Formats: sequence, C-alpha cells, structure tokens
Amino acid sequence: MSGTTPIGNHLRRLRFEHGEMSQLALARAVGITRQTIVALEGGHYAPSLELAMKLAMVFKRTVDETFFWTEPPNLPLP
Amino acid sequence: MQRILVFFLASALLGVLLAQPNFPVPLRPGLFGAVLMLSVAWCLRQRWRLAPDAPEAPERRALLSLSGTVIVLSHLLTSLWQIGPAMQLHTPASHAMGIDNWTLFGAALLMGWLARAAGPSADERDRQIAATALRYCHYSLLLQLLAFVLWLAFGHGAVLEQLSRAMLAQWLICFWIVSCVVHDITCLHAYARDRRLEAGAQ
Repeated sequence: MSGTTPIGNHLRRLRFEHGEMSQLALARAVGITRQTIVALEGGHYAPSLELAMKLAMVFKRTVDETFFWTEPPNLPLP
Repeated sequence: MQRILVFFLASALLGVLLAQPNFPVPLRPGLFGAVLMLSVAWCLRQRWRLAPDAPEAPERRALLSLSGTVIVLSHLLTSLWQIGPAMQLHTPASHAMGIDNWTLFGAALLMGWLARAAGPSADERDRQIAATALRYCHYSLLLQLLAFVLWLAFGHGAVLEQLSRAMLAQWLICFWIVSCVVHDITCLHAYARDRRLEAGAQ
C-alpha cells in the first residue's frame, strides 16, 4: 500500500495517445476510482492481473506493452 | 492530514457540546446533533457533486464515518464522565444518554448513506486499504482490551471499586468505537497520501 512498486506502466502516455483520455474516463472504463489511476500512474500501486488486463484492453495493447519491470526480481533461473 | 484533523476536532467538540447537561437549544441534544450531522453531510454531498476533484465514494464514506463515530464516541465519553463510575442502567441520566447516543448513532449510519457517489463503491485498491485499516483496527482493539484487563486485574483505587457492571459494558463499547475511529483514520491517511502524490505530479 505504501512506497513505490517495482512495476511501472505507460498509462499516462497511452491516455494521451488515446485522445487525451482523462484519468476519470479511464477509471470509469475499467470500473475503478480515479485515485487508483493516480496511484498507478505514480507507480505507487501494482494492479491485480485482472485489472492490468482490463487496462491493457482499453488501449488495445497487451499487458507486456502496458506494464514493465522497473526493478526485475532476482529469480533463480531453471 | 489537516482535513482529517479538522473533521476529528470539530466532531469531537460537537459530541462534547451535545453531552452538556444544560444544552442551550430547546430540542433533545441527540436530535439536534442528528439534524446537524445530516445537514452537514448533505451540504458536503452537494459540494462534492460540483467539485471536479471531489473525493470518490470510498473516501467520502471514510470521512463521514470518521465524523459520525467521533461524535458518538465523544458524546458517550462525556456523558459517562458526568454520570460517574457507579452508573446504573435505569436512571434518568442513563436513559437520556442512551436515547441521545442511539439517535446520534442512527444519524452516523445515515451519513454513510449520504456519502454514496456515482462511481464504483470500492475497487481492489480500496479493499486493500480497508484490509490494512481493519488490521490496525484489530490491533488497537486488542491493545485497549489488554490495558483494560491489566487495569482490572492489578489496578488500585476507589474508582475501580466503584465501577458498576453497566459502566464496564459502556467502556467495552467505547473501545469498539475507538477501534472504528482508528479504521477510518487509517483509510483517510492512505487517501490523503494519494492526494499529496497527485498534487506532486501536477
């Protein structure tokens, strides 16, 4: 709930590329509050997979094109 | 945080004033308080309807819930203070306190209903904030109960010996309301941080 998350996103850029869509319009499109969009754009909240897919769908992008790692986790490779 | 503090202090002051024995309004204090609470909630609702950056439903609910619970709590605490530790249930003072406090409680519930807005009632992040707030709410309740149990077990003094069962029950109710206040403050603190982030981003 606090601090920044290791998951970034291109939501702000995508909103502007889609006719300068407002935060409120995007929030209403996916059924969340405007404050959550603010938190997402600020990198202070990592969405659930369901919400990430909904947001990507609004901009007709994939989740990978919408969200990215800012600090990839150090996972042991198989 | 300033807004939370203002709401908290104004609500606490109203609750204390409503519990005064010579309340200067020719109306039951509880009823007067309920009308005032609902009027303020309605005015805020109208204001939020017009404001472009108005808080969304979960934040509105938390703000009005905080105000309502603090009024109920401060009214109850002041009334209990005036009645004293040997409180009995069926006395005029206890009846007056009960009627007024339950009236204020009803108004606090209605304030929550007035907080509704056009958008979603809560999303996944609001639920996450509410879950954190509930955790703090539980911790505060446990801490209060622990302190109370220790005081009952090891406390000394005339006050402890005078405590009636009715007063003990009222104290337990107060602990529960305090934990509700902690819940609302935790939610509002999270939303206030959002607002700071938003202001910083612009």
